Amino acid sequence: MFQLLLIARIREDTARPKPSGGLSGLGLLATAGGESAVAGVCKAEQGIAFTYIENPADDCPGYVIDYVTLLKREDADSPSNMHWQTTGDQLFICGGVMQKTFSVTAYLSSPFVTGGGYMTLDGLLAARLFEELQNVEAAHAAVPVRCNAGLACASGAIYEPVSVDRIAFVAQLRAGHSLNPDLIKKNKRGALHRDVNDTSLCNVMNAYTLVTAPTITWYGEGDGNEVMRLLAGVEFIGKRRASGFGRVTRWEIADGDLDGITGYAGEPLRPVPVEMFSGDDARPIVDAAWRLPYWSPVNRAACYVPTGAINA
Amino acid sequence: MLEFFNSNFGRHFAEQTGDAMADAKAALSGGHPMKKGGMPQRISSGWAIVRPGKSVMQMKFAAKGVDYAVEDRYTAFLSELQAWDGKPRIFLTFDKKPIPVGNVFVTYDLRAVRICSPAGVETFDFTVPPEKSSGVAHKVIWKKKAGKK
Repeated sequence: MFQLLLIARIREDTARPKPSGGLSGLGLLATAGGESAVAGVCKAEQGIAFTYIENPADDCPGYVIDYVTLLKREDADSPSNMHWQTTGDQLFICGGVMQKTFSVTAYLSSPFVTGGGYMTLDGLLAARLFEELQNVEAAHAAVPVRCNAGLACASGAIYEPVSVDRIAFVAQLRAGHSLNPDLIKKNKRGALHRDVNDTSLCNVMNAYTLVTAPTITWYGEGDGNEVMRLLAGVEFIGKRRASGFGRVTRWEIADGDLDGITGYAGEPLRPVPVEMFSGDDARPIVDAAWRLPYWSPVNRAACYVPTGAINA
Repeated sequence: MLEFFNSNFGRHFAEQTGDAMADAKAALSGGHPMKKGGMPQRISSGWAIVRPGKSVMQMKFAAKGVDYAVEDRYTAFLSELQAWDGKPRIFLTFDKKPIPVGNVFVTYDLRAVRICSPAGVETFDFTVPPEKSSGVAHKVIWKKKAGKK
């Protein structure tokens, strides 16, 4: 692990550096294995003294160092990619919108049904936005969470199940009644396939997983107000919503300290491509979709994924 | 993922157009010349293991870039897993119905082996024995591993 060393400009009046736009004069150095290695050039004005501060949290209380663009596995710590952030809210401005880390919790009054997948927050928000915008690309572009090279700062669903069961539903399709015959491909004689009006196309049984849990929580980083506005109208989540499963009684948002990508123990909170993950890499690597749209195999890559959701 | 499938397996069966989804679908759902001659047929039985380099499958087609084997699917999968070299693989089991492209997953780790079939994907940890609720592939492969029939 890299140990971060901060070069801070020391003024005569010992004023603290401010996290304003003028960040020149501040920079970070990275050291590996305890050996100092200058990773960038400080842009300080001439004649101003510099020193190393080994622990920014102690020496610059009230501020933390944040990456402008999230680091990938092999990326070097570069001062040009860092900025100050207040520890209070860990706020930053992105695209003119106040961004912050948050946690969102859905309180459930009925079990929810899932067909697999990680139920990521950005997926949920994109689905909600699609209802409003009726345009897939526009919905994906409008998801109000921070995004780095396609990787959304939005975790998968986190819940502690009381029970997990299998459940099957029979869907009845009466193609001859409910579909417009003009939309169905005809056979060589120009007629509908006989199965369309036959019973063989009538019933389909699908098996899902039924999860009973009091709450589902997501972590993320982005525009919390917009996230809450979108989720406030969501009364049911998961599959079989129309049958009463996954009823949400209320949504709650709170300040969080996770970015939606890596958890407290370095575990992935969502599918993260191997080359973009900087947490615990002892976990299994799984082929998983890591960005919207999650249903597309084109968006799959070798990823670290949350424990217990590998089957998705 | 689809690039891995197409470059190591699909390209031997379908012309590559640059659309990875369409190319993979053409390989899995289209008709291909058979080794014995006759009408082109879909890959509709047996199994395949997509490896980096030369892949192997059971059903015999005219395609030359693929090795052909006669073992049953679970014996072949077990051999592959026991000789695991850490490189990605795709384990496919075919049936009359073609495998949807969405059901094709790469296996990168013995702790998350994925067996892809037209009906879905079975995922299991090859390093631990199956439980009562485990899938068929996990149970059969472990039975074979233990030397049982």
